[in-house]
Amino acid sequence: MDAYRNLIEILIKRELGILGKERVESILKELDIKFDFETQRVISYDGNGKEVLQQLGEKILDVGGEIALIGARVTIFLNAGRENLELPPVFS
Amino acid sequence: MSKYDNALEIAPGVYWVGFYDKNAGFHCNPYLLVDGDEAVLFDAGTKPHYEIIMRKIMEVVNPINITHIVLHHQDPDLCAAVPDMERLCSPDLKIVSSWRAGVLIAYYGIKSEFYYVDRNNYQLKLKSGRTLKFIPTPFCHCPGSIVTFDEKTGVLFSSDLFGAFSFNWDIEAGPYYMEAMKAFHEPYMASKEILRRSIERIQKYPVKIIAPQHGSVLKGDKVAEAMSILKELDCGDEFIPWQEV
Repeated sequence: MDAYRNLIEILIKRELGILGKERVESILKELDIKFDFETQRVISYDGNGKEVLQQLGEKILDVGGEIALIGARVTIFLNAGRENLELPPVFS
Repeated sequence: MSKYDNALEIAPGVYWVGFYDKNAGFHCNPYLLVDGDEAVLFDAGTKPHYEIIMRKIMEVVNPINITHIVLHHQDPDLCAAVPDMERLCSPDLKIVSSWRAGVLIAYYGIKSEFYYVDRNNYQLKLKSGRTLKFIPTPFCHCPGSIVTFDEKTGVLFSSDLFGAFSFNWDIEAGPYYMEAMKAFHEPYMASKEILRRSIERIQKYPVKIIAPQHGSVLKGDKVAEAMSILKELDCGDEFIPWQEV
């Protein structure tokens, strides 16, 4: 895992509210992201965090459409700025 | 058959009469308050959902008993059903809104007389003496936005405030509701300062239940938690990543 872990975690938590636990669980399973729903922490993911964030954003768009991603965009943008991280294209 | 096929009582004499669409990420919630032989409808609803909403109203009261329709702002998801609805309501029906919103609401072709809260000391007294208080929440999200506090039940009809984006909708807010609520407010409210001022105004009232026009009903500890979150939320223009064009 890398510097993007926090952003991935923020996005998953936000989508638990928007998409609901069942849909989020299914997305995480598909992308092989391990998440502890009790502590709401990311346990692990494979590969480059920026790419994982992009894939996660794309899946959220697939499942919920623009409304599901717009609800996360502001907080992701703010937190990326604070951590000086470049966002993947799905958030631009 | 689901429990959402019928009107649901969320507080004594206060009913949710909305439409539950299991595939939608955004729900509209009209509410009906019954006070003796008088009834008040809040944020009447959309044109496509008119028949469903009216059927649920008729489960609870004869629509002729509806003496007031409160429209907290001018958007079509609150107002578009009113021209169809008003034909079945009391002949003395009043449309309750701020003057600023009323100017635009009139363009739906509504025939009933308006009752402007800002010209009536921000309150409405029903026949029984029950008082509804209106709280201005300017630019949350419209210039003339208001919310309603019912002194008798402690219900705040909060319009867009405390609403949420939620595909996993339930009438009562679940464990992840605060994230869904932030998701709705961050890109929708004008600014952090504007939102904070409105929440502070609302906090002066003894709110027990929040009934938002989108999202789910908040009760118990969730009422104070939601207010405290929204008061500090980074939202609106200064935080939205606008693209320069």
